[in-house]
This record gives sequence, C-alpha cells and structure tokens, in this order.
Amino acid sequence: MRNSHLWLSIHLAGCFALPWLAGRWFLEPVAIVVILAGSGWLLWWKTRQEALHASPVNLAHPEPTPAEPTPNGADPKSELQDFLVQVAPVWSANIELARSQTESAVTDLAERFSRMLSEIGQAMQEDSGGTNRKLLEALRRAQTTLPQALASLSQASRERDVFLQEIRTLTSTVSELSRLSEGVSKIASQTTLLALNASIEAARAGQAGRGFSVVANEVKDLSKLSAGTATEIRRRVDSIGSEIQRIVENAGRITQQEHEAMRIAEHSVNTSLEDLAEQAGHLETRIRDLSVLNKGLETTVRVVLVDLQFQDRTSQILTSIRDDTQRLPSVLLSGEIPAPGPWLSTLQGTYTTQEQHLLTGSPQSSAASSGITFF
Amino acid sequence: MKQRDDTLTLDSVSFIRGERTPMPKTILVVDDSPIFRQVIAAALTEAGYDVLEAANGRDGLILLDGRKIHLIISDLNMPILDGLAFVRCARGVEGYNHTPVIMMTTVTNEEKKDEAMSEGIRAWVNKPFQPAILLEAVSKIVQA
Repeated sequence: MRNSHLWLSIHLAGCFALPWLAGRWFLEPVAIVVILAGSGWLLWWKTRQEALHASPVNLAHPEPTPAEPTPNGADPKSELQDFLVQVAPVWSANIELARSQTESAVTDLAERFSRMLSEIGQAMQEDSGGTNRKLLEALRRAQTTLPQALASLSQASRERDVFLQEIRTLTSTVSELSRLSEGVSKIASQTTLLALNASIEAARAGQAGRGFSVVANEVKDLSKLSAGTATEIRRRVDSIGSEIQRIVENAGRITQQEHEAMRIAEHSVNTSLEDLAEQAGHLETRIRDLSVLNKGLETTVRVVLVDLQFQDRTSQILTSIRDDTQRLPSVLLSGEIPAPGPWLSTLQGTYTTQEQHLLTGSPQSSAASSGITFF
Repeated sequence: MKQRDDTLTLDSVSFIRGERTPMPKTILVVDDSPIFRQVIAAALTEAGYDVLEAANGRDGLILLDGRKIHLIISDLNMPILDGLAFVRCARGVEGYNHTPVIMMTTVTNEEKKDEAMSEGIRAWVNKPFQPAILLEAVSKIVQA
C-alpha cells in the first residue's frame, strides 16, 4: 500500500518534471494523459494486487475462481470489472481529446511557421534588391560621380587661368605697340626738324634751292601727318591697353572668387562624401546584419518545423494507448481478467515507433531514426 | 566560355531546387498526419513543385484521375487504406503503374522495408525527416 503511494508520487512528479526539464511545453497535454492513464492503471494494479493477495489468480492462465465476497457481500472482481468498464472509455476519450488537441495545435503552429518561413524568404529576396540596397547603390554612385564633377569644374578653372594668362601676355604686346608709336612720334619730330633745316638751307641757296624748298615743305607736311597718326595710334593702343587691363583685372577677381567657391565646394563635397561613406557603411552593415539575422531566423524556423514532427510520433503512441484502453471493457464484459503477457504482446503489435519498441526491449532495426534508404 | 560555365551552375542549382523548369512537377503527398502534410507541402512548394494532398490511401486513389503525377510520397501507417495497400492499388490504375513512390514513416522494421522494396518503392525516408534530405531524394527521383 505504502509502495503504491510512493510509486504514484514518483510517477506524478516524473510526468510533470520530464517535460519541464526538456523545455518542451507542448508535451504537457501528453503528460496529463499519461498521468490519467498511469494513475488508472496504478489504481487497477493496486486493487488487483490486493485482490490477488486476498485470492491468488494465475494471470497467464486464469481459471475461474469463486469470488470471495467482501465484508459488505459484493464480489471484488465483479466490482473491479464494473469499475474498469465504466472508467476505461473515459480514459480513452481523454487520451483522444489530448491527441486531437495536440494535433490541431501543432498543425496550426506548423502552418504559421511555414508561412513565417515563406515571409522570411520573401523579405530576404526583397532586401537583396530592395530599397535599402538601391539606396546603398545610389550612395556608392554619388561617391564616384561627385568627385568626377568636381574634377571637371577644376579642369575648367585651370583652362580659364591659362586663357587669362594669354590675355596678360597681350597686355605686354599692347605696351610694346605703345612704345613703337612713341618711336614713330620721335621720328616724325626729327623729320619735322630735318624738313625745317632743309627749308633754311633751301632759302640760303636762293633760286637754286627753290625746288628743294618745295620738297622740304612736303616732308614737313608728311612728318606732321606721321606725328598725328602716331599720336592717334598711341591713343588707341593706350585705350585698348586700358580696356585689356580692366578685363584682366575683372577676370582675375572673378577667378579668385571662383577659386574660393571651388575650395568651399570641394570642402562641402568632401565633407558630404565622408558622411555618405559613413552612412553607406552603416547601411551596408545593417543590411548584412539583417541578412544574417534573417538567415538565422530561417534556420531556427526550419529546425522548429522538424521538431514539430514529434506530434506524429506522440499521436501514434497515444492512439496505441487509446485503442488498448478501448479494448479493455469488452474483454472485461466477457467475464475474464486478461493475462498481462498476451495483452502486452497485442499492445506491442501496435507499436510503430522505434522508441516504443525500445521501451520493451523488443528487437528492432537499429537503423538511424532519421535518414533515407534508396532501393 | 566563362559565361557559359556560370549559366550551367545556375541551371544545376535550379535543377536541384525544382525551379526554372518549363512546367512544375506535380507530387502527390499521402499522409494522415496534417503536420507532416503541412511540412512536406511547404518544403516542396518552396522548391517549386506543385503539391496535391490526401489524408489516406483511399483519398490518394481518388486523385489518380488521369492528371500527370511525377512522384508519390506516402506514409505507411494510415487509416482506411495504408501506404503499401495504396501503392498496390495505384499500380493497377492506368497511367500510374510506374509512378515512383517514396515511403515516409516512423517504422524502421526491416521486413516492412523488404515488402516496400518488392512493391517497387524507390526510397524509404524515416520520420522525423529533414526537408533538405527529402528534397534531395525527390530531385534525384523526379529528374531521373
């Protein structure tokens, strides 16, 4: 009596503790069913042991023995049969309830996890060519195109500098022209002086120098004309020189402003590029981390889907127990207490999983529990 | 030449996954366990196969109505009509006499395996199974 209580306690503790220790919350309904079935069998076994103790029965070959009346006059064997006939269908119904509820819940879980797997796959596919990836590509392109634009602007500025230098060279040419025109003025002045001297000499020569005097006057007129032309040339050259000088000064100022603008633009672009590079790095890291996370999640869900297959095995085990419990009342109603050997043999015949066979130490294939055999 | 090698590699990947084929291959899954039908169908669909489902051998036979089925994946222990009985019946249906069959079961009994081999079953997969292993077997048999 005390032993049976001890075993009952161990049984109950084991049924609750094992699923808890394994971290398999979904085994809880199975544990409850096992408790119900086990408790029932223990009660039956205790009662049977007490009955056997009171009146020994050959279990292997039960022989009808006269029922020993209890103090109240009832037949204990008959009472046990009645008890089991009424209780066994309830056990069976509870086992089936647990089996069907587990099956329904696990199937629902598997469906949700399958959908999750599909959604993860879609998310990964979209991410590989999606918005984040396109943004990253745009950032990478900007890192190439912006420096190229700056280089083009810088090249144009250098070309303008060369052009400005050529204009400055032109200024010196204009100055040279101005000097040349001064030379022409000096020549005209000398020529005028020469013509004057020639006129004086012609006057001294009298009648003989008359023709020479005409030539001297003509030379004087020409030298005046030359002096006027030289003055006009110098005036215009000076004007052009001033104009060029003004243009060069303006161009120099603009170039200076342009260089300053270029320096600011280069600084801004380089700062922006550094920011872009940093953000692109962060984005790339985020995309990579997300990808790793998604792959990890995908692997986990795949493992969960494989783990959820436990339901089929527990369903088969529960079905076996349910069917075994269901056949008990009909046997009892026939008036016999079944012998454990043949009964267990029949039960073992319904075993489908390797674990069930291992429970009884039955010889079974030692093949791996998961794998494939090609024929 | 390198481009050609790349193309071949891509083709062989899609070949294994069952993708990029002109017409998806159709696979009939017969299993009384909804969880197994769910897991098998999800793996096959993801790999690009068309999947038909039946909860037992009788329902499986109903689906053998003339449509093209490239492979049958069947459980062994099922109510109404078990896996081996279903395969025997299917062999008698015109158009499905030689449809390859993969048997998936928790049973590891060698006698049952011998029986399955004598029925022309092409592969025996133990439950629980890894989808990758099943897909490899399916690919080998369907593309053979």
